Amino acid sequence: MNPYLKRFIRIYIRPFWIRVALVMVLAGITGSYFYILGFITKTTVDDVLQIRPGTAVDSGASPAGQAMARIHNGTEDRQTGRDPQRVLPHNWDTDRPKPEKTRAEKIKWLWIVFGVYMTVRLLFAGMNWFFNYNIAFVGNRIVFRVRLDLHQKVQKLQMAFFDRKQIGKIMSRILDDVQLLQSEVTTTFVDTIGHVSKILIGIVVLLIINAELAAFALLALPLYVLTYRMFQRPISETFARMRDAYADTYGTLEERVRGIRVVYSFTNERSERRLFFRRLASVFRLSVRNAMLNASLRAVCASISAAAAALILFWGALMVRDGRMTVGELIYFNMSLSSLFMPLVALTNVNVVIRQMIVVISRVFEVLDEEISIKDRPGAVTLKRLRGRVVFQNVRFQYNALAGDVIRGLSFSVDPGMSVAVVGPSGAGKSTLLSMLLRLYEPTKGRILLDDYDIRDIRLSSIRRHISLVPQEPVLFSGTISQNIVYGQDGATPDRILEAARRAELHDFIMSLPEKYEARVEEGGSNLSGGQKQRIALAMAILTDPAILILDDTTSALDAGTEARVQKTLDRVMDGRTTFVITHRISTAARADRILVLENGRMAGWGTHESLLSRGGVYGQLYEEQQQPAAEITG
Amino acid sequence: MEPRTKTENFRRLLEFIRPYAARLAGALGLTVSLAVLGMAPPLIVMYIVDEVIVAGRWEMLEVTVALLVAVPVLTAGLRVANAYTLSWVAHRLILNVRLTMYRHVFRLAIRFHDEMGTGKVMSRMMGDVATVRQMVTMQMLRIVTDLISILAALGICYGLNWKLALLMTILMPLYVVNYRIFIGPIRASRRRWREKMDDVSVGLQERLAGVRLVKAYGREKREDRAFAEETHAGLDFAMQSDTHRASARSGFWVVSGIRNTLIFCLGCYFVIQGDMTYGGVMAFLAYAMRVFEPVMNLMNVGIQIEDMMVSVDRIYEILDHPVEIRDAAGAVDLPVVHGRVVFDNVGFEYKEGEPVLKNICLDVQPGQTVALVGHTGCGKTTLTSLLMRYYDVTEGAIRVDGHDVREVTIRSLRKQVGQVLQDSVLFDMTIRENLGYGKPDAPDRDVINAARVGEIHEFAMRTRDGYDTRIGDDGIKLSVGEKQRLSIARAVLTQPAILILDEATSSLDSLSEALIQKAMAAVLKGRTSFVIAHRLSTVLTADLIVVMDRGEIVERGTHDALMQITDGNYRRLVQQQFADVDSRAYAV
Repeated sequence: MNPYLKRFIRIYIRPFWIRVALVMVLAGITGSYFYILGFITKTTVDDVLQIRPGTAVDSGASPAGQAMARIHNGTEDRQTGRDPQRVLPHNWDTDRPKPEKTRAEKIKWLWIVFGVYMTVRLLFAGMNWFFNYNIAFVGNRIVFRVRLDLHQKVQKLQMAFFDRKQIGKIMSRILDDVQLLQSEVTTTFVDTIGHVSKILIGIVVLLIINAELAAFALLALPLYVLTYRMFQRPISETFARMRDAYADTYGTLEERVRGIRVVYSFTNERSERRLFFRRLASVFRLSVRNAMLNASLRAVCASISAAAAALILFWGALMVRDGRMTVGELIYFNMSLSSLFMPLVALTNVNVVIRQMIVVISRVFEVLDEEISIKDRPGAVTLKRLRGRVVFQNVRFQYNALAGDVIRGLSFSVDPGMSVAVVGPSGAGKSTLLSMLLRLYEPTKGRILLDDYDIRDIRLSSIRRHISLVPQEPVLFSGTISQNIVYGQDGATPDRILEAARRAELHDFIMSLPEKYEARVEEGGSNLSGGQKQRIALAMAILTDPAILILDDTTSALDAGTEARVQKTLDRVMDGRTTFVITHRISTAARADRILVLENGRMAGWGTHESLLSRGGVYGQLYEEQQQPAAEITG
Repeated sequence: MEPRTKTENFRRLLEFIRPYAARLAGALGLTVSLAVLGMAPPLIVMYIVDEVIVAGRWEMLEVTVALLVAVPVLTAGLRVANAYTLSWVAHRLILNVRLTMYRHVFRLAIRFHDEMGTGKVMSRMMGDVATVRQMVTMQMLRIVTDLISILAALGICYGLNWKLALLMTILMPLYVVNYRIFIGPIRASRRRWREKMDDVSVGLQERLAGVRLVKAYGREKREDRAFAEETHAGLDFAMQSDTHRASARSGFWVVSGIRNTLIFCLGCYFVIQGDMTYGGVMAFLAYAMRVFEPVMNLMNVGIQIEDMMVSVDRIYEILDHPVEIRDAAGAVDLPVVHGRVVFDNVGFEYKEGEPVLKNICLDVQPGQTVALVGHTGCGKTTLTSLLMRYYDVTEGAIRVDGHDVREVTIRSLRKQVGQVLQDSVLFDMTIRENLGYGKPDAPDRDVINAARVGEIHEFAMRTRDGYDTRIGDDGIKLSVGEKQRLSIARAVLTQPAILILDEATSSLDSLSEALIQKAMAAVLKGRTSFVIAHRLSTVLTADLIVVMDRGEIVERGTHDALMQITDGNYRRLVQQQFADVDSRAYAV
């Protein structure tokens, strides 16, 4: 069995084994439904209605019939043709004398048939309910668990994963792919059990009715296997490519819708439409191909079963003529045969669906198996308190071998309570550096110490509880403003929320809104300005009262007035905690206890404002650049 | 929502099929003939049982069996052809619907996108359209063939034995009763399930987009719990609906059980009476099945149709969203402009009674650089959005070289106005393709020149595949500064007559900003430009500084002139900005 499928069954289906077993049993019983009905029919035909094969008046059997008769009797002594009398029942079944019943007797028996038939039908209708209910129960829960696991996994994955994958593609896995699991796959899984039990019971029933005919019917089986094998590979290939094409389309579309302003400002609607069309066209081609292959497979299988059933009817009819079978038995055999072939046709389809299911499952496991490179080591410690000492020891980092090292060997140490400004040209690795402090990324070489612990020996939850980051591009979630502020600290009291908002210079703005703290934040904070978003992000961080605070160019989107006010707050907030401030402004940097100058991932300066200035270098240059306008103003 | 509008929307959606009406008609013809041919086998079997076996006309055996084989085998090809046509039309239909939606979505005003959000647009264009696909072609044809099957099978039943057929007809309403009992609850729970899943999708989208924050605050577990709660609510509704469905199905089996038992036993009674042959009973049961199956299917359609109608509605929610910003009738292409931009008493409000811009009068000469400064939320970005025609003014007019922006084609206007956005948006393509986004046919020389101007050339050369390095998904990650430089280069390449820089330089460090500005100085020459920057150092060199406050222009002039105004807004801004650096700098 496919290893993915095996794992899927082990992880997701086994917890429901009692229900699955129940469903299997029900499926098995349901599988015998048509055979039971067939048996009632047979009994009715043979023993109640007492229908007997007729003799040909003209006795002119067709050549084929004669040939068949010869085969049946397997002897040469019948060459003279057949004796019409011989076909009368039943020199082969002396245990079942069948005296003709009277009409009254027949009708009496028919009442019994009525009772049994009705009982069987109603019983199965009831069983059907349990069957369907349990399928739904298991199916829905499996989908639920798979989604949860995917979500959990995705939440645990390191940032590097998100740098590589488009959000749209992840979404399409968690939502669409998994839905597919339910709609087709779980029902198919259970149906398969039903089909298999039908086939097994069917084979036994056929063998009991007439072994010779049954052997003949089973000859059709290899044909099925052959057909299925022929179609299997192209179908699963097409399906996998179709899902990929779909994910591509989804990804492209999501990017464009998100970046609508760029599309508009470059008036690229037309070429984007062409691109989208190309994506859709490949989905279209593959979908039609997929449908075609499935239809062809179905058609071939249906033809095989129809031909087989007809030939068996032919053979069976001859056996009835020769008295080796009753009419009822032939009808029973024929009914059973169609209940055997139907699941066979369905089973070929099931196989296809299972192929498709494996594609979906493997896409699920692809995410679930994605290596979590950043996780708690065994024995990682929980830190109740963090004093805020930070040491970088020869830290190197690369996102991607393609792009080379972003951080190239950094060493420095920061005492608790110190404020550090990180300056340097864009792309120097400032944000990366501080992301590593939160263990969003892991150094490729070297190590980072927090309060003398290797950062990898501290539980992630501890690190992130004590370190807060205010990102350069603030992220807000839809909800109310206060819900956003308490994001890092559930259950904060209203007083503390207010306090945090005040300190982030946000309170007045919030109070100017009609709904105040309960004002809605739209998806992505689209109804707020960049400065408002940054201040909310700041309030979020302030509320968590972190030991280490990282401000990634936090005040860049603020106008000068607001910035000046926020800066005052920051001075207060930064007091007593280790703070890293990424900034482009010398004015901000100058206030820090230490300044780290980064250039091309290397340290191009480390010290106080004064000491760095006296040394000139990159920092001196930056200072000169920014002094110019200041000089102009004051001059 | 009114049912009337629903059917109306559905009818409108059918318009998408019209071009393929011929194909569909062919498929319909094929399906109907297949359905009719499919009616034959039970009659053949009846003949074999009654005439060949019971009456002993054995000489007919080969012929009848041959017929029995021939029908399905010979129609196999037809069935494949039919399936092909159907899936072709179905997928073609959704391709067209998606393309139409795409065309519309990318004509809608920015306001629509801000309000709707990416997640919702996505789920409508991908999810809902897929829901519709199944119904519109497959099921529609099936309904037709189902009805034909039902009628044909009923007809044959009456031919076989009118008394049994009458009984069957009388029992038919039981199906309807069963359907009526369950359809309401099924629909209600499915509707709630859909709504829940919508919430799940929107929430998930946000969490993924904001994953950095989730991690930074260690919120993974709580987000998991939130996701679990949302999905679990969905699960409950899904179970509700599936339970009702199971009951409905069993109800059908009960009805059919009663019906078939009656038919079988009465049939057998007629056989005893000599009114009917047993082959006739078999055939009758077979045809009764052919009445039953389509009825069952119709019930399923009845359940799905609600899903589809909701999807259709949501599709039309997008398609019917008015294109607020569109080319006026008789709009002409904006000729190549010199770049004079006039804001003539412009006013703008998003919501009525809440003006965002008031009485904006501004006359910008070709080649001038205008710096827009002011507090956050004072309307700077909105002002430039009006020039791009992302929104239309609610009062006054904006003229470019004397042409009202509403009277020229949007395309020709935006082609001549370049824009660098606050948040740099790049696509999952190579660096070269991203640079050439506004001008895909630009020769390499121009691309490299633009890259040099944006100070991104060296970065590109450092990557392994140079300009062919992919950004995003499978490629490399760019820093914010790199992204911004790339988007500046991208705008430079299109050589716009008018350029809008929206805080584009805010995350660049002074050094590379200085480099860019040097290059930009060359680019800006002979080009009208509007610069929104919070850092005053970047606007000092502007020809005109416009100071805005609460949607109004409060001061305008050069830096020197504005600094002269005692207690002026500009002066205050400058002082706030540079106060600290001054004190520090001169303390050294």
